[in-house]
Amino acid sequence: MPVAPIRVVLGKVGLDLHDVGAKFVARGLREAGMEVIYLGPFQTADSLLDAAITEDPDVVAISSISGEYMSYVPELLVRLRAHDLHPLVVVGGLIADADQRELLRLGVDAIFGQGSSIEAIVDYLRTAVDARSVDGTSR
Amino acid sequence: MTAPISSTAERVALARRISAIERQACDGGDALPAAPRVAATRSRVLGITGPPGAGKSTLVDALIGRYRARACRVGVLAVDPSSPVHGGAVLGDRIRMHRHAGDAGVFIRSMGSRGRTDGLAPAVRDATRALAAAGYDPILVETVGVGQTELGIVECCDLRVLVLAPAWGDYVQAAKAGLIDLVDLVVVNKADLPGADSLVNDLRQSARRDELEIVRASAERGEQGIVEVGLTLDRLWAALAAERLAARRLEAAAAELANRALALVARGPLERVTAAGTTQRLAAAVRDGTLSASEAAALLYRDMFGSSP
Repeated sequence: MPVAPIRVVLGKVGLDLHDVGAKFVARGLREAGMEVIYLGPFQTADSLLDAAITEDPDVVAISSISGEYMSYVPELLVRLRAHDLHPLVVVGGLIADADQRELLRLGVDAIFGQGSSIEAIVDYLRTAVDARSVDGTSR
Repeated sequence: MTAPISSTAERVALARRISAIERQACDGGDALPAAPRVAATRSRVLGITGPPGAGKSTLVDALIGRYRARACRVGVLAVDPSSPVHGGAVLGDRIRMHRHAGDAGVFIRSMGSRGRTDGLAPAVRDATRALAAAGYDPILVETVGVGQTELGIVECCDLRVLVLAPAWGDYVQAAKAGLIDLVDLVVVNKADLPGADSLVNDLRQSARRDELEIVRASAERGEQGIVEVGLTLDRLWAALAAERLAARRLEAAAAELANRALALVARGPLERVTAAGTTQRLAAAVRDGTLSASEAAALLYRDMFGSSP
C-alpha cells in the first residue's frame, strides 16, 4: 500500500528575500517524495499558523538568513501550542549559535545551518515524522 | 445562517478530516466510514482551470476577496502536480493568495495530484463535501495547469471556469481544445496584454455554443473584470440551481463513479498478471511490433478475467 507523502509547509519570515536556499530545499524535499507547500517570503507567525492549521502538515520549516527568525519563530511556537498543534518545527539558514540554543530550548525540533546537506534534512524529517506516527500524534 | 468565520478548533478538525480523506484516497478507495453524507450538497463548487501561467491562482485570490466582501465562508482546494516518478510535489498556489492568510473565513488547502492525470487530486470530491458540510460556500477548486483535455473538474464542480491568457495560442489551439465545449465561462485574463482581442474573437468563432460566456479580466488593472466575473458566476449559478443542477451533479457523479469502479475492478487482476510477468511479455510484443496494442490488451484482459472482452 502506498503511504501518503510527508507534507511540509516551507516559508521565509520577514523581509528576507534571499530564497535561493529555500527553493533548493523545496526541490530536494520534492525529489525525496514529499509534498512541499511553498509559501515564499514575507511570512509571519500569523500566516505560518494559518498554513499549519489548514494544510495539516507534518512539518513547518522556516528558512532565514537575515536574522529575523527570532522575531517570528518563538511567537509561532507559542501560537501552535496554544491551538494544540504539534507539527515538527525546523529552522534552516544562517542561525547564530546562541540563537540555535535558544530556539531548541523553546521547542524547535531541529536546526539546519549553512552547509547542511539535503540528504541530512530528508533523513531527519523521515525519521522524526515516522517516530511521531508511531506515537500516534498524527498521520 | 452560517457565521462568516469559523473557529480555529473547527478549522483544525476540518483540516484533519481532509487529511484522512487524502490518506484514504491514497491507500485504496474504500469508503471512509465517517465521511459526511448529508447536508453537504448545498454549497456551490466552482472549478477554475486553464494552462500554467494563465492566472488561475490570481483569479482565485480575487474571487476570494469578492466572496469575503459578501461574508461568505470561502473554501479553496488548490491542486498542483505530483511527480509521477517519486510522488513529490511543490505546491505553490498559496503564494498568490497570501493576503488571505489569517482570515478565519477562508480555508485554503493545497493538494498534490497524487497520480491523477485529469487536473485534480484523488481527494478533491470528498474534500469539497467536507468543506460544504463545514459551511463553506462557495468552494473554489483550482486545477493543475492543464492543456486541452484534462476534464476532471467536470466530475467535481458545478460551474467550470476556463482561464486563458493572450499568449496561450491561436485559433487552431482554441478550436481543438475539448475544454471549451465543457466550461460555462471563459475568463480571458491579462486582458491588458496585446492579443486579448483576437483571443476573444477566436473563442467566439470556435465555440459552437452561443451560450459560452467570455469575460475579460486583468489583475494588472486592479479589480477590473473581477466584478463582471463574479456577476456572471452569480447569474450562471442562479440559472443552474433553478434548472439543471441536480441533473448535472448526477451526470458528474456517474462519471466519477464509473472511473473509480473501473480502477477498482482492474487493479487486483492487473497487479496479479503483472506480477506473473504477463504484462511485461505482452509489452515486449507490442514494442517489437508482433502484436498491436489492442491485440495485446485483449490477451491481457483474458488473462485477468478468464474470458474474452
